[in-house]
Amino acid sequence: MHRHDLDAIAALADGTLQDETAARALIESCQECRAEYESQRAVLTALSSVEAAVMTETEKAALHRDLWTALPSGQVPQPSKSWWYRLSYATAGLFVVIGVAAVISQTGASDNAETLTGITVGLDAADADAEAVDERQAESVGGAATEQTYAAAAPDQPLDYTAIAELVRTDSDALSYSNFADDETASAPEEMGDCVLQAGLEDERILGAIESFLLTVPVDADIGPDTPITFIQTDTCTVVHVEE
Amino acid sequence: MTSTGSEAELVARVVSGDREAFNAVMRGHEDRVFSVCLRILGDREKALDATQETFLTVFRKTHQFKGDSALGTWIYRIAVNTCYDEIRKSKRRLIESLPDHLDPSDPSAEAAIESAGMWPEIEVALSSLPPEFRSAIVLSDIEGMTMVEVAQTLGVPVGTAKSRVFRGRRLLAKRLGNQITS
Repeated sequence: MHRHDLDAIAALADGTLQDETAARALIESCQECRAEYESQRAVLTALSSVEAAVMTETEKAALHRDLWTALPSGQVPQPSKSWWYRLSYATAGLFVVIGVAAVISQTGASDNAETLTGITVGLDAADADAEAVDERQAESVGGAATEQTYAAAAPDQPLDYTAIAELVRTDSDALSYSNFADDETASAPEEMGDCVLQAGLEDERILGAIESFLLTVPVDADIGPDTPITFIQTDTCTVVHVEE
Repeated sequence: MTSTGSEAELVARVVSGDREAFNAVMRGHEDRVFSVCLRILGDREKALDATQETFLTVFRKTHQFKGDSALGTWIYRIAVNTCYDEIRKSKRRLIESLPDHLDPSDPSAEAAIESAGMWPEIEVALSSLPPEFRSAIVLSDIEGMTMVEVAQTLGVPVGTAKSRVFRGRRLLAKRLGNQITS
C-alpha cells in the first residue's frame, strides 16, 4: 500500500473524505486495504463509546482556588526569565540533536550502513575501541533494541559513538520533550513512524528528530551516567536509542 | 485557524493583569483541557494537577501568545506538553483509583467518575500507546478535532498528525485484538 492509499483509507474510515469513490474502489479491489479499513473502523467504533470527561463543580472550584493561591497576589503575567536565558536553554536542547545528527552525518548512512547497524556504546572505553564484532548486525533491523549488544566501532569508523552517548547521558535535561515540542523544526517527519516501528521501539517516545535521525527513550527511563546508548540503523533512519 | 479579534482583546486584558479576563479564558477551555489530560494521563488526580499546571503556564506565558493559532489550540498544546512532562516524571498508572480529595458527599462526583470511565480494555490499550500516538488519537478520535487542529495542537505538520493518528489506530487495533469487531 502506498502512503496516499493509507491516508485515503484513514479518511474514509473516519468520514472526512470528501469524495469516497476512489477509496471505496480501493478497498473493494485490495484485500489488505479492506482489512486495514475494517480495522480502523473497529477502533473508531470502540473509541466512539468514550464520553467526554468532565470535572465536578467541586473540582472546578478547587482548581480556581488553588490556581490563584499558587500565583502571588496581583501578579501580572510576564517572562519569568530573561530572553537570553530561555534562548540558551532552548538552544541547549537543539545542540544535542544537531550534534548527534551532525556527527552521524560525518560518516553518512550510505557509506557506513554496515558499521552503523546496531552499535552499543559501552561505558568502558575499551569497548569503544573494539571492533564491531557481533555477527547479528544483519539481523538487527527490526529486532528489539535491548537485543542490540554490539561493541563499538570499526578502526576506520570516524563516528565517535562514545562522545555522542556521553552527550545524551550528561545532557539529559536538555533532551526533555518540551524543548523539542516547542521547536517545530524538530518535529519528526512522517516516515519516522516507520523507522520507530522498524527498530522495534514503538512503545517509546520520540525525543526529537532531525532529517533521518531519531532520539528515542523509554517513557520511564532515568537517564544517567550508566545508561546504555544504542545506535540502530533501519532502512529509513538511524535511531539513537536510550535503553531502559 | 488564527486568533480572533475578541480573543486578542481578552489576551490583552489577561496580560494587563485582569483576573476576570483570565477566569473567562479558564472557563472557556478548562473542560477540554481536563478531558485531554485525563485521556492522555489515564489518571484523574494527575489530570487535575496537569490542568492546574496548564493554566499556571498559560497565565505566565500569555504575553508570548502571538495569535498565530486560536487561543484554544495554543492552550491545548500547553496541556499536551504538560502531560508529556508528567509522563516523563512518573510511571503510568493503568488503573484509576478514587482520588483522596474527591468529596464522597459531592453528588456529582460519582457520575463524573463514571462518565470519565472508558471500557477498561480501551483505557489500558490507549495507555499503552506511545504518548505521541496517544495524544493524536485523543485529540482526533475522542475530542473530535480536525486534522489541522490536531497538527497545530501537537506542533507538527498535518502529514505527521495524520500519520500518528493512523498508526495510533493501527496499534490500538493490534492491542485490542478480538475485543473489537468491525
